Amino acid sequence: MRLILVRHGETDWNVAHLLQGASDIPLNDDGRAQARAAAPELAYIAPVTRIVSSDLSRALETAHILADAMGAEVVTDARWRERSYGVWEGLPEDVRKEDHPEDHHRWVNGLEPNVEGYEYNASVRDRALAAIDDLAQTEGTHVVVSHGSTTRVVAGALLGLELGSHGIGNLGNAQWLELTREGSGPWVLRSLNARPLDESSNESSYSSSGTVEP
Amino acid sequence: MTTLVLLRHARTGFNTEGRLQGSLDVPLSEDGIAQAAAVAKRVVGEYGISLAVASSPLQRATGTAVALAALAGTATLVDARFTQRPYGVWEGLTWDEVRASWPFEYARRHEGLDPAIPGWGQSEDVADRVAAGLRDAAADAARTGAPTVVIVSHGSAIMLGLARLLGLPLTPSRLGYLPHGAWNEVRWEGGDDWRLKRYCAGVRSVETA
Repeated sequence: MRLILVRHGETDWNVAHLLQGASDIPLNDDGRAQARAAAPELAYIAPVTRIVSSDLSRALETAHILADAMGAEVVTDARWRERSYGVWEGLPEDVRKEDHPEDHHRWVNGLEPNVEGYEYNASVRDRALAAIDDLAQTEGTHVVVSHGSTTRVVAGALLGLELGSHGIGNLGNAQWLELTREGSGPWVLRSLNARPLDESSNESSYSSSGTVEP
Repeated sequence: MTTLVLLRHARTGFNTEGRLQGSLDVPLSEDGIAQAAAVAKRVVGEYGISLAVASSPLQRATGTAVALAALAGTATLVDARFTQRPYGVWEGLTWDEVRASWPFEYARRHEGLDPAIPGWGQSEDVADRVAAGLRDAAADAARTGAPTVVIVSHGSAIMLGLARLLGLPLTPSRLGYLPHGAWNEVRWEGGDDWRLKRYCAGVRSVETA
C-alpha cells in the first residue's frame, strides 16, 4: 500500500500564525496558487482516480484543485479533519499564554495542553489509523488531503515513533509525505516536504511550524 | 536551532553498473561530475550560500562536496565518520552476483537485515558512528552560528545515522531509498530533539518525465 498525505494550501490564519483546528478557515489566493502549482507533480507521481479529503474547506478546496488536474473525484472523510484546538483556536500565541499560562508552558515543552475542547494525540491518531485501515481494503496508491497536526501524528504512529513525537516534522502548505508498506511489513517513509521550496510556497508556515504547532 | 542537510553523493561508474561500493573509493563518473554541479546549484537555490560543508572522505562524496563548497565560497571539512558502511566481501560485485553466490545472505539483506558475511559493517555500528558525527556537526554549527550544514555522505550511512537520531528502528529500515544527489533535512532543537523536516528532496520527477 502506498499512502500520500497532503497538507492543504495556505490560509490567512496560517499567515497570522493562528491555530485553526476545527475552525473552517478557507484557502487564501496564495493557498489556491500553491495547490495549482503542486498539482502536476502529484498527478505525475500518483495519478489516482479518487482523492480522499478532510471535510474542512481548506482541505476540500485543495483536494478539488488537485483532483481537477488529474481527472479524479473527491470524497470526504471527517476522520482526516484537523485536531480541534478547542478554545485556543483563533487566538494569538501571546493571548493563549496570558489566558492559560500552565497549558502554554506544557505546549511549548512538547506536552499536550488541557484546554477545553482540545483533542488529544491519541484520539487524532486513532481516527486517522481507522481511516487508513479502511483505505487498506483497496490495494494501490491512496491520496489524502488533510492537515498539519493530523498528518504528523499519524505518520509518527505508522513509523513507530512515540505518541506526540516531533521526530517527523510538520508538512508545509501543499506539501506531502509518502509512506509505503509491503503486505504486513513495516511502514517506510519515502518522502516528506520534498517539493522545492520557492517564493510561492509559504516558507513561514513550513519553517516555523514548530512555534505554531509544537 | 541548527539545520543539517544530508546529501547523497552523485553517481559513479559503479553506481551506473549496479556494483556495490561500500568502502571502495570509486570516483564520480563524468555524468556524476555534471550531476554534482547541478545538485550544488539546486542546494544553493533552496538554502542560499551561507553553508558549511562537510563530507565523507571517499572521492565520490568529496567530489560532490567541492562543487557545492565552491559555489558557497567555503571549504569542505572531511570527517571519516560520514564514510559509507563497508560491504565486506561483497564490494565490487553486482546484486545478481551476490544473489548467485550468497543466496541466503542476499535474502536477509533483501529483507533489510544485516547479512553474516566477512567485513560487513553492522547497522548498529554504522548508525552510532554517523550519528556521533551528525551530533558534533550540529553542535559545532550552533557554536559558530552556521545556519545550515550540508553533509555529503552515502545512502546507507545517511539512512542509519538519521534513523538513530530520530529513534527509528534500524533493521529493517523505516526510511526509504534516497537517490544520488537527493537530500534530507533534519533540524536539531537541542538535546535529543531532532526533527525531520524533509526527506528525499532534490528529486525533480516532473521535469525528468
